[in-house]
Amino acid sequence: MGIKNNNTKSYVAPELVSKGRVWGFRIDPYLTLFFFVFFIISIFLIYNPNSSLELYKRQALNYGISLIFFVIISQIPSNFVKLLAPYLYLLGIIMLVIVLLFGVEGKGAQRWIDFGILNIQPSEFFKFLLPLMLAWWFNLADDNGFNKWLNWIVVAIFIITAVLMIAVQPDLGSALMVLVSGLIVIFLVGLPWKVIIISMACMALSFPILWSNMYSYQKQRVLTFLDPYKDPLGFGYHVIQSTIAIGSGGLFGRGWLQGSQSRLDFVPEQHTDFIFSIVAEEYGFIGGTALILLYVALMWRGLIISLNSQTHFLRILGVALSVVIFFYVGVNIAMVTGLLPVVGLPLPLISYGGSSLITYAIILGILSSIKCHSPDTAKIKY
Amino acid sequence: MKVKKLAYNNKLRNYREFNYLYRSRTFQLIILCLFIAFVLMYRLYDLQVLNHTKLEIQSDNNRLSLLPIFPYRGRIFDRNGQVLADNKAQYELRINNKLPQKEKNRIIKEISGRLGFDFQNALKHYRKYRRLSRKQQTTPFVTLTDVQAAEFSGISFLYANVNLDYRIVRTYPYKEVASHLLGHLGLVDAFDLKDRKLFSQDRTNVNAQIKYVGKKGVERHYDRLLRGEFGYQIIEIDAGGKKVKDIEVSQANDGVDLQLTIDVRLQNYINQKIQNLKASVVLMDVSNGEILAMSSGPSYDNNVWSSKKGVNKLYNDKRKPLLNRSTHGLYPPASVIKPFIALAGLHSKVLKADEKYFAGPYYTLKNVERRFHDWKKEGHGLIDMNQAIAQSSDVYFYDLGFRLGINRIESFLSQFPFGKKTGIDLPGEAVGVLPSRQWKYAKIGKRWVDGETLITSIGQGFFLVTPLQLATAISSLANHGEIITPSLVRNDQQVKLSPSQRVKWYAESNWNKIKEAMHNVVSKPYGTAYQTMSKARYSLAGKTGTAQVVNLVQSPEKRQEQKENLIKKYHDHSIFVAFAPYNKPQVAIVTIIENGGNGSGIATTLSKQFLDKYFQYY
Repeated sequence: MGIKNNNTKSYVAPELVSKGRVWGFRIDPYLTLFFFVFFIISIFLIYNPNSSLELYKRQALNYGISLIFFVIISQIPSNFVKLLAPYLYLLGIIMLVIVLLFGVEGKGAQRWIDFGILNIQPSEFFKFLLPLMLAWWFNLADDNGFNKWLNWIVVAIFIITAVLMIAVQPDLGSALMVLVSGLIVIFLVGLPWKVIIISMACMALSFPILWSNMYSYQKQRVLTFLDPYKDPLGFGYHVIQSTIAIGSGGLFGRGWLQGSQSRLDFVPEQHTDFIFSIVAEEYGFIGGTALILLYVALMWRGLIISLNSQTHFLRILGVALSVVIFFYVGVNIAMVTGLLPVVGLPLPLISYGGSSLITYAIILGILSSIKCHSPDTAKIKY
Repeated sequence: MKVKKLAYNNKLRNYREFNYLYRSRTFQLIILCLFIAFVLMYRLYDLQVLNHTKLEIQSDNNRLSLLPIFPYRGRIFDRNGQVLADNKAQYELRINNKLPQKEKNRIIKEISGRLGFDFQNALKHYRKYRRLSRKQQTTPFVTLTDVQAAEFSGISFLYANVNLDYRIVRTYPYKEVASHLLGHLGLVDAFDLKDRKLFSQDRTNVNAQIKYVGKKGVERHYDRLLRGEFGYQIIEIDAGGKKVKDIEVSQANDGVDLQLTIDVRLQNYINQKIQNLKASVVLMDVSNGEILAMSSGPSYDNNVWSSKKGVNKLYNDKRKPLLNRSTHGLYPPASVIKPFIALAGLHSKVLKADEKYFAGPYYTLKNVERRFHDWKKEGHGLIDMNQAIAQSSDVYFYDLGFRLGINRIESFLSQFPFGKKTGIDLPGEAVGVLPSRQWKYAKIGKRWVDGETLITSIGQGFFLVTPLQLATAISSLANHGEIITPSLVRNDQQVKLSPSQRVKWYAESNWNKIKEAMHNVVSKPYGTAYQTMSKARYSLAGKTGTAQVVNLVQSPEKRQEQKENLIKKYHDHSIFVAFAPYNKPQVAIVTIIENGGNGSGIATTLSKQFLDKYFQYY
């Protein structure tokens, strides 16, 4: 026991613990800084004097709510998070079932649950719920030495359940991204490369089957992605207008509020999914690159936290969440710049919208919690 | 203890294995993410640096919109400031196309009850414009008076789907009074686009916005001046097409207000007299060429061009009301040409004014069987030039014409605006025909014969003139040879008018002799216009003419019989020309009444009335 205590003491780095506090709360100061930087960026981009909607005020409110989530989640010890993981996952699945049965329709799909004051999109939560669940399972399997193949089968069931239930809403974009977040975890725990290569080949072969089962609007999106000018006023309109917006920004951009494409509504969804076009149009190549690097920095902070954490569970969870955020960023920007077909994904932490913002605040909260509670959990485990 | 330690070591080894795998996989993920970041940044570089120019142009095309600013078309006044052409706002109500038909009917009916217009007419109007307006958001259904428009604006808040719109329409308050010379506006057609005078050379976007141009008369000739210069406005618009802000504005230059030389009082009076006749009257100031009145009958209402039905009726009218007979009507000058032939004789010394000549009932040529009859069965007897003009002897002028020869006649008359344009500021004036050997050979392909010289010298045969040419010629006679270009616009404006010309200088006495002879036409009892004109309170010099429309049989006995049986279409044209006062000419008048019969009849009578009216004012 004495060894353990000594070990534990050698792991405890008091200055880290003390640094992980802001105004008496256990929060990572760097993540807090990121949170506020993104808050400022988001408000500046959403502010539009021409619009009477005053979305920026509501976004500020969203940020306020998100901050509460961020702080509260951050206070929860990460081992407690681990204990909660399967129940949260189960809750998420139940919510997906509710969505399918009683969900509110929007944009041709059932994605929302109406709670009166706020609408909740449960598929959002699977961004972290699936990594959480998988990390929990791998941790369990590792501890108990489960059969390797049984292990993979159970993991596959977890992933497929979530992905399918989101896909039938139908929300193919979110489903694919949830799948990717699951795959990141699998990759991280060491899925053999040969399995990865074989499954990728299978996916390529199964594409025709997938294609025949796709909804026509999904097919249209893929087709117009290949040639947006085929339908410049219909499905291709989004991509054409956003590339015009980005291109007209040039090296230094047109300046704040000067982006005619985005501010004058030529780019649709310019406050939500296509908000990156405002960045690129008004702040140019410099601004766009800076924002991408800011996301890289955020991911970097998440990775540092994860690598310094002490348990399998936390390390897997931390890296997975950090990388998932960046993947969402990558897919969103690729979509806005016309590199990927248009799928309805917001830009993390900047796009207008409460549901998405709260989700990312929770993810940041989890990362922060890993940072601030890590040493204590290490004491228990090893 | 040992087992426990082994298990612990095992776990530690597992942990290390895991750690190694985990670190390498994390590293691979980081590489993947950085690769993604690089791809995105390269894409941004591609769009924002490499394709920047192209995409910026597309962006500008999206956000910038060019709007024309319409200039106010210049108004047209008569010489006393009466408005002849004006711009008026016409109000109309338009209804939202998106409403269901039942709802539309209900709303239209309700408004018709409130404003007091006919519901059925409004429905008809709506159906007429429904197809035309299907790409717009609204369709017009009724045209309102100013009072109704004001009334509607008071209750407009009740009808969100109806809006009050207005457009500027060209109106002509005097309607048919000056329709021919004013012209009208019409949509630009392919023919107009070829007209270089109508548009500036660089056909910019703004120029392409011109929808209406003058189609006839002054509206056409001074179209660019009246139209003014289009302005433009570059605005920034949002995706919905709504204006956000001005980028650049270039104001329009309004059109110039034109003051015409027309006196609408005279014009109106003349029009009243001839509006149901096929006739033409030109009243011209001999001192400066200003047209005081120029009327063509039958006249039509200029405002009719807004309705297709009315226009079709005009096109189908056999009396050809759309023809401006003053500038486009071609008539044989008949006896009216005689003073000019006499002048040619005096100038070329072929003729002596006092010499008496026996004018019998007919004239014969060697080797020609045909007899050239006088209009007077028994002939005029022994007459000098003075009497020959006053009595309008044909035989006297057959002889004179024969002695002059066609070449001399043609070269003398060509100094007057016969066979060429007078240069009046109206579009597409007819030139008529001044016959000559070359002309006949070119047009008909036959050689000239002497008989044709004879009938040319009494203004028949191939000879064709417009009333305006006659008026110009008569005023040059009054001016002793100065040919003043007739004009419709006063010279003091920014309008370029062609300068006046002179015929060759001839002895003053010759002019006076001709003028005296023309004075005798109205003042001597033997003059052809004496009966009508002798009572005039002013002195004048005139000449009657009777233009034959068809060739009549030669023998005078049968001729009378034939004349009586002629249908109206082939009756003679009645012509009277004059300038007044005789001593100090002010005004020249030409009156031509188609199928009006003898020149000393209706044309002279009407001319007297017109001149009376003129001297009432001047």
